[in-house]
Amino acid sequence: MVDRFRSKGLELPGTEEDFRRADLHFYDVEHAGPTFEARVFLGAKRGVSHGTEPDDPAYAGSFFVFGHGDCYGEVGHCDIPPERDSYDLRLPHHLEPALQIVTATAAVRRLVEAESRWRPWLSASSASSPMPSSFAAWESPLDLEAKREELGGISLAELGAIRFEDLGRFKQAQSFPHGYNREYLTFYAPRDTGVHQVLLWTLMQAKSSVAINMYGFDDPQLVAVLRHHAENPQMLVTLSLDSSEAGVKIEAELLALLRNDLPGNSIAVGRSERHAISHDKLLVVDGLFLVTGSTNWSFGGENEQDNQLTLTRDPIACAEARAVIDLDHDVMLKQMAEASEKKSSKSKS
Amino acid sequence: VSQTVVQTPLRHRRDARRLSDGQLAIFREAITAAQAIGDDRGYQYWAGIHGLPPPAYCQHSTPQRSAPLFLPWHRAYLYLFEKQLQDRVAGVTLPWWDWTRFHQDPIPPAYAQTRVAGKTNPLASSPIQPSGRRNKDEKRTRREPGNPNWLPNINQLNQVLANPDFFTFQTQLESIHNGVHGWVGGTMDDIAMAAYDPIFWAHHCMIDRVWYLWQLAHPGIVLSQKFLDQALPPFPLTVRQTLDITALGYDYAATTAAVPGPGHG
Repeated sequence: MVDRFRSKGLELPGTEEDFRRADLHFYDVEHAGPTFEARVFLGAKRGVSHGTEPDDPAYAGSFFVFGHGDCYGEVGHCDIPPERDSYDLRLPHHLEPALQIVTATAAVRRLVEAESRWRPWLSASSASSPMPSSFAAWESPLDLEAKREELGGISLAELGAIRFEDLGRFKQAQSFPHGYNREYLTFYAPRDTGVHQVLLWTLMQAKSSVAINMYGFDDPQLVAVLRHHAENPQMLVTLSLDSSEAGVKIEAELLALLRNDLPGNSIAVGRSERHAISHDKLLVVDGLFLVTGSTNWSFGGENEQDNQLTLTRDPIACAEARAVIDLDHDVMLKQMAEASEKKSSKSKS
Repeated sequence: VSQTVVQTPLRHRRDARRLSDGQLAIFREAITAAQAIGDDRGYQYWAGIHGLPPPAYCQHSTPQRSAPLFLPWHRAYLYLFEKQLQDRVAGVTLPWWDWTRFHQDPIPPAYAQTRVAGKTNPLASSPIQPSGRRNKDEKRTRREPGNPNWLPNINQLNQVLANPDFFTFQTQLESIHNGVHGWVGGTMDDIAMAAYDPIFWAHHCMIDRVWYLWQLAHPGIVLSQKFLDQALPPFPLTVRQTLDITALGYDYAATTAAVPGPGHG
């Protein structure tokens, strides 16, 4: 027989560096009944069917209670007196509620790491972020004409005006080799240091639509440009993000930040169709530009990890990718609707 | 007649799977002899201290508003029970059951075999005195072992051993202990009758040994005077008197077992 108890939300430490160990203390644990095991799951997600076994991704640990079993005394033997005088040196009542401690360091660290993947761009302050100041969040509303030191002294408008044919300047060699395919431009992080600029450039091309399916997304400057588009009622913004590690609170912040309430904006946070992670890194702009590859939109993804990013203006490839993005987006929206329905019916019952 | 105090060497408790034939034989002899005594020197009396018949003295389930006594109380319990066995057979000691190993055959053969040399194995089961039963039909102990995968593994135990804080260590070791009681099932799963099963003593010997290993790994732990002076009823010992097992006259044999023994890191 399995009983479930869902605790109130817990505050996580700010960053991984804030703790070396995480213990969960369970107070008032009853032990008057039979022996049982309590398994602890952290970060259970809405819309995700969690199991009860230790192989579940949210499993954090367990504790066992050696139950007292049925009372073998007479009437009142197992009743805990409500008070105890200060001179009472007897040992505690045999059924005094117990304390249990589960060390959940690995599980909490997993959540904190995930949270840090999202947190920097939900907050204007990046003080707790490991990112350098050149990766700091930009203002809102976004000034497209402001010269920016982190862009080499040019403005976003000027960056966006660079010709597709001239994007080789963001390669390590500052150009593509002779004979390179003119429609498919590939950049390799961290060797090619302009991956961040290429992503900004692509977003700056948007005139009518931006469609994104992204696993890792905590680049605050890309978020600033995306937010700029989301504020534009003429722009269709479709964003699908993997929810495997994002909490419900963050989802709500995300939807508010990117103005999900405005016409033309649709933001979905969920899992893949088969409830695995949504691991794509896809961007389609205006149906004309497509970004693919392994690069997450993060400081690490663009500057530290070994990643590849391909930008193409092949419209057929764009159309194919757009279908993938839209299908995955629809799956996530349905997951969110289902979770919302469950929550609603639960609160009614 | 006054007693003469005789200087005796430390006695070593051993792994239940590594007992020599002779060591196992004298242990069985001691248990059998204790079962034959009906007064406060006998097996039934000592098993009853844990739960039934009342009063139940055992200290379990870390109370959250007072000092948790699980480890000291059970150390005193095993020590005094072992003294009773030694009164029957000099030099005999309790063996431990390392449940982190041999999960393909978890209960040591010394305790699992129902018959030995044509006789009932006194370690496989025990009678339960009428006043020790929850219901009158429970005349003997029984076991209903679970899935061996549910037993604690060495990684879980090492994580608990790494605790620098005594009370956290004790709480988490008690939880592991609880799980093993549940895994053995049957009488062992009932806190009021568990001590009647002979494997109870081997299980708690392992718990006591793990505490000893923790003490070796964390020397210099400071505990409050109030805690140290706490009595452990019905035993004539305080917490302080349980801390040094060599003062109680026993030690744990070094072994190549998965849980390292003294001298084996």
